[in-house]
Amino acid sequence: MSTAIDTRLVFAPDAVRPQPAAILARLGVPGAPGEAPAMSGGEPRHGPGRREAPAAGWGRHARNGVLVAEVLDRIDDLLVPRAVLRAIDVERFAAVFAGEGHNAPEAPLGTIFPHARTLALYAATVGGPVSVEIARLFSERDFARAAFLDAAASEATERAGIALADHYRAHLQACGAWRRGDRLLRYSPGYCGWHVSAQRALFAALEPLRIGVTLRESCLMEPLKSISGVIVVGPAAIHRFEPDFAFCAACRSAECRQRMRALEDDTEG
Amino acid sequence: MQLPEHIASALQQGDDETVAALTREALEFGIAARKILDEGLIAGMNVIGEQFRAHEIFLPDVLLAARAMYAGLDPLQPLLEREGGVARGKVVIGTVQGDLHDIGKNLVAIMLRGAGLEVIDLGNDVTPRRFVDAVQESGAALIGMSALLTTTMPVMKEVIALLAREGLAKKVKVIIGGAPVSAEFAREIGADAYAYDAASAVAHVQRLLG
Repeated sequence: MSTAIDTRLVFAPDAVRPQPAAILARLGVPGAPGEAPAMSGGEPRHGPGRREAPAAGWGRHARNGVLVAEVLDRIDDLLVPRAVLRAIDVERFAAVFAGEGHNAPEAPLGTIFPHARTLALYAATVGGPVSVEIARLFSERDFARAAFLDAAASEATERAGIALADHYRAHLQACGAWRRGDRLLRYSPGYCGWHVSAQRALFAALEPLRIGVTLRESCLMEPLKSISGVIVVGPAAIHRFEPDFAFCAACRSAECRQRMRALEDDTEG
Repeated sequence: MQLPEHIASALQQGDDETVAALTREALEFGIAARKILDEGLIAGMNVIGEQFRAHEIFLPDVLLAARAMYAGLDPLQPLLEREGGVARGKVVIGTVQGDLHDIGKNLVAIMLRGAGLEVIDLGNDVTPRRFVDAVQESGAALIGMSALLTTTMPVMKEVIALLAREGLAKKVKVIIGGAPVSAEFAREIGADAYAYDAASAVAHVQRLLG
């Protein structure tokens, strides 16, 4: 059975439903609803409006819990999760990766993909309606609900990417192309030295218009809640790199460290 | 505790209904709109801003307080305009051309208004010409720009260059922000400040406007 794949996927909204803790994490809120409020560093300060009594802390957590529950109650009606996936060989991907020649010379993906066992381009989206609703909430000054919905939609988009990756892994396993010790990671233009302008080459090779995702001249994807990139499958060792590049200084997520820790997890088989 | 202090306290709890009710009550009592604004709404948002910067509260709390602030501003606005109330400064903000991300920019706008500034929010996908025209029309002393794509960051440099060509370089300060933006980039293009987040943006703007 060939490992080639070129498919359009439709997910049910509840397949990409975000978890409350993940929504709060995106909003910078520590802990999850129902947990004791974390004390900030130092003693509570005294004075009008400054003392953070435990009751106030609990009140805020309860309030966040209500906002999360409200968002989750309505988000299924706002999400239109779709994805596309297309296998690509190393030689053709080299051209996609090179893009318009603006990558950082030391971009780690440049040394990763030549060692991949398989590669697949992908794009996923949760559609436009949720962004329209976020804008409406902001315009009506319902700022908190807008921010919660925005965080939930971003998390749902990421979960669409995860679902897509799971689909690809299952496909490779069905083909007999998945080996013990293989790891599957996604890489996206705009991160880790892979310049965002490479989106143009990626879009030309993948044709995400099939799921309604387009690219502006600025390389901004529309709908806004969309992601794209390449799935790289190979032994754990090929994905490892030391994140001490020049561009790492400006990185706010440092997600790479978490991803590389997860490489040690052998449950993928 | 006087009414403006009660307003500040309710604002910090994100209680928009109470803020609105107390504001109307304060006006009926004959308290000047400017006093209610300064000692109630802005005072409350100042505490929120400090707590946010100190990581004692988080984004949802700030946004609920902001909603409460707007609820109090509504009955005050017509009176402030009649009194000729002067804002603490006027700024133009927007997300640069080619970019539609606006959550961060929206948060900055909210917090700047909470600090008593008049904010002209141009929205997203704003061209250099629109930024500069808005400054010329409004008399704003500062432009704030947001970009979340490296491909759109060069627009920030174009805005600064256009300000210089129009003879506004010394009159108008520029602050920039957004995930791919850095202090180094700000220095490189001649911006006056770089803001890592909304809380620091307010501090920088207040410093730049003096």
